[in-house]
Amino acid sequence: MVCIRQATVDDLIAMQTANLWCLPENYQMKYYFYHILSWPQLLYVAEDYNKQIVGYVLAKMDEEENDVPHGHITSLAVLRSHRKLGLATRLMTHAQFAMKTVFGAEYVSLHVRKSNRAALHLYKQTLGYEVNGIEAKYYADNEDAYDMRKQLQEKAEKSKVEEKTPAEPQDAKTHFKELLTNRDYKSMTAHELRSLMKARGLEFVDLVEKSDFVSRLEELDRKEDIAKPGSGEEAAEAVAAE
Amino acid sequence: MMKGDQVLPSKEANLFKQIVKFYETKQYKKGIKAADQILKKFPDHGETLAMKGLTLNCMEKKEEAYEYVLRGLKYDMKSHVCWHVYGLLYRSDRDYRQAIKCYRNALRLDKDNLQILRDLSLLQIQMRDLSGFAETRQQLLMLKPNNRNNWIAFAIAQHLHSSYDLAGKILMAYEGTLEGVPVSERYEHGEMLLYKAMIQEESGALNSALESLDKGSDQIIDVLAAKEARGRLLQQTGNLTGAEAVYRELLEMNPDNYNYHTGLQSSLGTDPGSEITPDQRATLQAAYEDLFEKYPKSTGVKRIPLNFLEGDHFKAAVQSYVTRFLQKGIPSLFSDLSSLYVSTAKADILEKMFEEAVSSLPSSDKLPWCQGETLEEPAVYVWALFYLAQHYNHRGASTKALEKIDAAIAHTPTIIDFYLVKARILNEAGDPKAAAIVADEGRSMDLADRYLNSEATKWWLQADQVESAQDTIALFTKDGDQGNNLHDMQCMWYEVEAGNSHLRCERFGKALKLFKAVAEHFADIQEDQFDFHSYCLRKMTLRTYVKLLRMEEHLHGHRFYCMAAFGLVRAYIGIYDQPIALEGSKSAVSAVSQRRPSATPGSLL
Repeated sequence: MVCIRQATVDDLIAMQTANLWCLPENYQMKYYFYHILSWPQLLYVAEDYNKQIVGYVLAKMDEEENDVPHGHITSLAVLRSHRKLGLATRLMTHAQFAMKTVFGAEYVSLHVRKSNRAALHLYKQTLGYEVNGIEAKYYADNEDAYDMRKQLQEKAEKSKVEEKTPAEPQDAKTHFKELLTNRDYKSMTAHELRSLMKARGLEFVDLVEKSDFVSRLEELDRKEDIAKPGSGEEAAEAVAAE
Repeated sequence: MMKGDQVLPSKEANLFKQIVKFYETKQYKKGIKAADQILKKFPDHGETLAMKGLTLNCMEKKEEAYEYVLRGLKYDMKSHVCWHVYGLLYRSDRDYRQAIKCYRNALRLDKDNLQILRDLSLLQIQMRDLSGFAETRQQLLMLKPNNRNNWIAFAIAQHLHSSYDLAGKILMAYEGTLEGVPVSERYEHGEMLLYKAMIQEESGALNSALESLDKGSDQIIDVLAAKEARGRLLQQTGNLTGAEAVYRELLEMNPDNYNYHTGLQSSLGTDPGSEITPDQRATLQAAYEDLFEKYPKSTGVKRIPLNFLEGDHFKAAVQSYVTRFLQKGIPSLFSDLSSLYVSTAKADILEKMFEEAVSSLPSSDKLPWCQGETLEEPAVYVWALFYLAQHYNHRGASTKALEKIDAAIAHTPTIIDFYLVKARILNEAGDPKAAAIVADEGRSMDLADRYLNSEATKWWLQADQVESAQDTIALFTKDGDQGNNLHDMQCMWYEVEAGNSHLRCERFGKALKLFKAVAEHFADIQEDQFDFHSYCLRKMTLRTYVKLLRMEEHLHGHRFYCMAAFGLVRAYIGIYDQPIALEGSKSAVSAVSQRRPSATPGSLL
């Protein structure tokens, strides 16, 4: 039997190892921390009798302003040795259920390689996802992604959505996004930046000031000598000096 | 606000405020300009010197930064700003002990400075100075009692300090101050209630914990977590009937969670993992027949009885269990059953069963234990062979194992899983090179599957063919820049395996580099928790946060770290023992003692 249960922090290194073993899109440990410490209900693992993690789903909520609450599957993998057991389906079903019941997600989205027929079949036929669009050159090797979605519950009234308080570092986040879209970061293409961002947990600006990637942005900023507003945390830090 | 001895005239005082502003907004060049303007007139102004240093630190001029900050301190030892800045400098270098000392000095001069207190508390929890952390959080709570985070953080501090009672009381007092919970904060509130129950459970106040859960049942959004906690608590308080009901509800939600099965079994009066009496076996058997009616699709419900059934009951159950696996060609059958092999009797039954299957299938197209007239697909035969190969390998009969797997491959050469098992058998039989070649053949059959790539890489490393391993894994890491990508993504299994291979080949320098990389990942993972000390207070994911802190405390017990540490020691000893000297007077040993092991490993070894 393979046990399907919620992941704990003690599973994260094994999840990372399984991810590196099976998939080309990888993430640093801090990104796993970010997931489990933000939405602990959305991570599930498949564990075999020998206590080995043979599959996992890493999911999150997208907390964007002006949008209904919705979930996103960051990564899903099942070891080849444990295929045909329906593990991926079960992992997904539990994560989706938690998104809906705990976080009120209206729909859940994910990206999948156009060429990944097995995964496409799983999402479309077994799990009921539909193609919402195509993201050109989404992956590091320039392959396109299908942007897929599955409705989890009836659409909420518009007023309800507006009631939702936005996530904290929204201004910094928006600003960061502008930085990424408006400027040409030399040798790097947009999808390279994006995968780098993902890999290094840069979706939440207040946690990553010290990462290599931001310092690369800062270095470029300095070269161009363009002033850039700081984020909340550091601003607070220097209050003491006033 | 208390200031140091040095007071600037208003024009310069304004300029100083600007420096701080520029620092906050990362306009470092402008900050330096403003600082220089002040320093032109007041070259000994301590706080300006310190701020200039802090700014330089952000511009990657570390040496100058320390120089300026220290000079600033020298001129104005009584300024909390100078001490705070000195602390921030150490903090940016991850030297938290020194940083704490600096913050403490700053607080001596300005004891209620909120920002310094907050910064200090972060370092204290990072360093696990639990009593210091509790003190600081108490001070912050007294200074700002209307801030939610201060209550929660103080409760965490008491919890970590094992003052469970106090921690629980703080949360209750905090609850008492709330006037209704806004819809947008329902999740956070529920998490807080679950955290309170967790503290009570850990303190041994099981009934209070149960009460908290019952009282909060309409406010806790994470129903699953509350149910799991209830099941555990009822069990521990000896309310087995109550526990049984909860575990049945949980199984209804997820019949494949092994923990729920364990819970159910305990509540039925059996201790999973210890010997059971015939009576208990009968109870379990009846319970699982009942569960099977309810959840016919659950694998767990069918698999678990194989653990406690014996003799003919076992035989009948396992025959019906494996049939579906064989018919669907599910590759994990052996791994699924391998834990049964602690019982020789069960292993013997399985051996006989599968031998009979492979001898009868080719002629009859029927599984010997299946009644009726349905004929099996030819694939059932090869999957039975596949099982037997792993079975014999497990029992140490490599020749027989190889025979079976070769027969399977000869029959259906397109099933890649067979090659992976053959590689394992060959390696365990003592031929890692042949294993690698077979695994690589499997890899070449589906180049898009990274799992196959990793398997091949692993066997190349086992065979000490590091170059082949590198070339293989590079196929999945960008632009041939694979060393860096693997390192950036903390690919530790590879670093450990490759390090061990270098060690076996006495390339100690290269081994050293890889093992050190693993050690660095662990240092980073430890450092990673820093930002979450404040983040989790806002998100209110407190149960998970506390578990993270505990996980970090035994982080270095992880298998990868232990293997790397062991490898490091052996690499150092290897280098020390190696009698080769470089040209000139430098020996291998002295090169290492200069801490440049990776600079010249090739020429060195």
